[in-house]
Amino acid sequence: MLELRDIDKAFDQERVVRAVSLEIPPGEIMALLGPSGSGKTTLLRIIAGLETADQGRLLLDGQDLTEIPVHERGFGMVFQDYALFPHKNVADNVAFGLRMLGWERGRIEARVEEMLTLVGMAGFQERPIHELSGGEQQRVALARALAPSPRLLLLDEPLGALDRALRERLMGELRSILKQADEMSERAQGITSVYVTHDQAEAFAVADRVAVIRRGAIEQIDVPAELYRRPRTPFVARFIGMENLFAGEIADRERPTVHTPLGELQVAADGAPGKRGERVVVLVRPDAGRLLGEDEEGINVVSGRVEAVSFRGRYQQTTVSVGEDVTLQLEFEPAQVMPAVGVSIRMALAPAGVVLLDSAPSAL
Amino acid sequence: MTADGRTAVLRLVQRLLYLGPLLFLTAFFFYPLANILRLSITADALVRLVTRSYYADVLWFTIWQAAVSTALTLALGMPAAYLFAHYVFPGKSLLRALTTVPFVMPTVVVATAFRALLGPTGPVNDLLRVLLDRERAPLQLEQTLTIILMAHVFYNVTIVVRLVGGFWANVNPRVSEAARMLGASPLRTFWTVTLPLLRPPLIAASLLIYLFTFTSFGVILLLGGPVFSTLETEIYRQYVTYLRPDVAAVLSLLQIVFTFMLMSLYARLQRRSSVALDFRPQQANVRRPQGLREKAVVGALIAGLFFFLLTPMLALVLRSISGDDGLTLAFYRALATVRRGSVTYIPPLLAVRNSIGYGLLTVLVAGFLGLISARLLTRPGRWRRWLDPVFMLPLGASAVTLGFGYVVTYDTLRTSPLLVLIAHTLVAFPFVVRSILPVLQGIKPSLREAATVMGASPTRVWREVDLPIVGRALLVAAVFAFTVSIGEFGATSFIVRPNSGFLTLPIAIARNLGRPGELFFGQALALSTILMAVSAAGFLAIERFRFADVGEF
Repeated sequence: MLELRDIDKAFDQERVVRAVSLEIPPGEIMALLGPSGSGKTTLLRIIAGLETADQGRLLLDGQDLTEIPVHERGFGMVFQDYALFPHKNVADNVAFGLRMLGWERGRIEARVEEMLTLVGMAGFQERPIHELSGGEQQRVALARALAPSPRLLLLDEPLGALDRALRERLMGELRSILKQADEMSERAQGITSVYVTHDQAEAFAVADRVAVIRRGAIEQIDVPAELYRRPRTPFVARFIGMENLFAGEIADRERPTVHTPLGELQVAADGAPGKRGERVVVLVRPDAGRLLGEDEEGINVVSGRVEAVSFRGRYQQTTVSVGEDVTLQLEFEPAQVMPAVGVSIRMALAPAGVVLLDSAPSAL
Repeated sequence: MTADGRTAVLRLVQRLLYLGPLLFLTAFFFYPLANILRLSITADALVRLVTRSYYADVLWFTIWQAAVSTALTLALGMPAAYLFAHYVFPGKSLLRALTTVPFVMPTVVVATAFRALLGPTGPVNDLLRVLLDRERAPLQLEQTLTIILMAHVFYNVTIVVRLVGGFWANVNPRVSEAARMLGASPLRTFWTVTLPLLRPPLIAASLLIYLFTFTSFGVILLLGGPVFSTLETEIYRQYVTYLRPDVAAVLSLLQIVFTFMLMSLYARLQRRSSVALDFRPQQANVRRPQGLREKAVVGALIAGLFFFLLTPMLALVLRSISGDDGLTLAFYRALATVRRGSVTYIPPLLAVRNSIGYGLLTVLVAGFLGLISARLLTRPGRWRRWLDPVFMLPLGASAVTLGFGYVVTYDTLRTSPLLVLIAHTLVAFPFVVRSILPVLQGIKPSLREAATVMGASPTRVWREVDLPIVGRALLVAAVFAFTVSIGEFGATSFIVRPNSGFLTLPIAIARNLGRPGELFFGQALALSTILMAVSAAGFLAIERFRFADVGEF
């Protein structure tokens, strides 16, 4: 179990990590998700021991790590630019950590082969680093970090330097490699991973749980599906691509409804609202909308005007204006035939897609 | 004349212009060197060289003093390189400029500065006398190996800072972090990762320093006195003092062989070390020192460097303006006075005037030849490949050998200032080419094509596109030529006859250092201070005009 307690860090009087507390159980993959400059990489480097925290404690299985130098922590790390040793070949890169452990040659060779097979790079032992493609380098870096069976694996934007298609492909593969390595680990506790990324799709695909970081502090920790279903703050909602946020007021607790600039809306049943009249932030998820026919009835019916439509294949990105100064960004299914720009439409917003955030409207 | 005729004439003129640098090199570099070889093959000289162990001792001393100097320079330069590559601190650019100043200082200035600092009446000995309560100077460093080595380190430390430090700053710091994460201790990380990565600049720096200290002339002659002899000083002494040109010639041959071996090794390694490593922009790697320990170490390094670089120069300036009773300009005033009763005495101030004159003329001649050569090298063609190293050859030839070659070849010219100018031009020539060439090569062909498409003739393209862009590089080259000329000592010391009216500043300084008496030493201090000021001003100008780091070494 990795525990972070009230970690604080400032560079030149600017606090980049603020009172971060976090617990990661053994074997879990935890993603630190946040925009660039949010302090997530600094936090990772503090865990690695490459930076020292100004305040707070870092514990692994109850052991305080503060005084332990980097090279005695027994962690693995995959750097954003891989940081492979340019003067060594693939095998020597992967063997480096094992040599530091004082393993004998035969055992090292066997382990190197095992690791290269795990990442799909068997037979690449003798290759010089500069002959590898970005994706291959990424795999070698992963094999190198995993070879000594680290107690903790730290990954800093490991797919960040790759092109989009390759990234998509490696996302899922990475998760299965990490889980497999966890089973192959020579330690009883297994491999715990901390994964830093600014890409929500990557975090969702790889991690067991996701911690969203904003300005050095944790904004929300949840499993990916829950984070998507119920973002708790406007920042989290926007960061995972949801822009329809409105100030509202609770109208009824029993049949949960809120007053919003879109009118009175029924909200998701599990989102138990507070007192009547309480001011809240309402999120309308982009996939909540469905077009209504001329006389069709529905729940949460809203009328508006189509401002822009962009066909994206799996959905149609549509901007709808409601009244004078309210706009909604909605994604309609491709099966629905979208009216032309300028045409008035009626639509229903599914209550499951209307979510109350924990924040007060002042957070908007 | 028809248009075709005009182009033909233009092309002929252009061809003739291109021949200029080649003719110049042939007449004033290859021919004199060949002449030395012709001279050296006398049986007597060869027999002397083989039978007398003295010459083997000279060669051996030359080899090992250069090795020790190189090792010491690396040992002292590495922490400095680390400092510049990893930390930002107030006064960094000043300190960086300061490390380079000794490198551009003429050898006579460095020698004089070290004697001013560490000589029997220097500030270090004054201080020690008071502390230890002694009558005699406690530190007797003049004419010792110690002071020679110190001067060599002082001179060359900037090579380590520039080459290794520059490379180090660009090495991805994540690579050594990765080693730390994989369980390597800081020391082990340094040996297994950092050092192998730094190998190309380390080898390059070592070879350069070795080459420079192997051919060191002024420092050995002026600080070592008659006690120490390297190949360079021995060539000089054999010719000037013992009047044995044949022995000097054999030694020169030896010198040429050695330096060219080192040069070709350097060139080969430089080509090989240009393998693309994992580079990232420099900004990401430097940071402020953090924590008490790091701050203390960095602070101590900075203070040590400042002290090491500044004290010799400060001692020089201070002692040049201090007399028995406080500050005085007496030494400077004495420079201009003509002494009665001495017909042969030449007032040292004349040397200042001469040096500036030589400097300006060198700028013109070397600038002209260098520009033509750089243009020639940027033209497509197959001879470019071997022409480039040919143009760089004078860089490797020792100045003393060059001067020796001149006096045996063009003895009749020694009564005119022409030979000095030619020698300075030849020494400055490679620097000029190296300053202009990268900028010229950096001009995108599309710029010239654009001008041509819009109707500019080749000459017009050169005037409208190349020249304006190369302008700044030309300025750098000019300052380079001037600084090289004003500090040149080895070749000039051969060419200029004693008490000649054409003597230069370094010659005047060396002459004064060789004479007994406080006034002569004081004049040497004053002259050195003037020379230092001029060189430093030239260097600052280069730093200001240079495009990034193009054209270094």
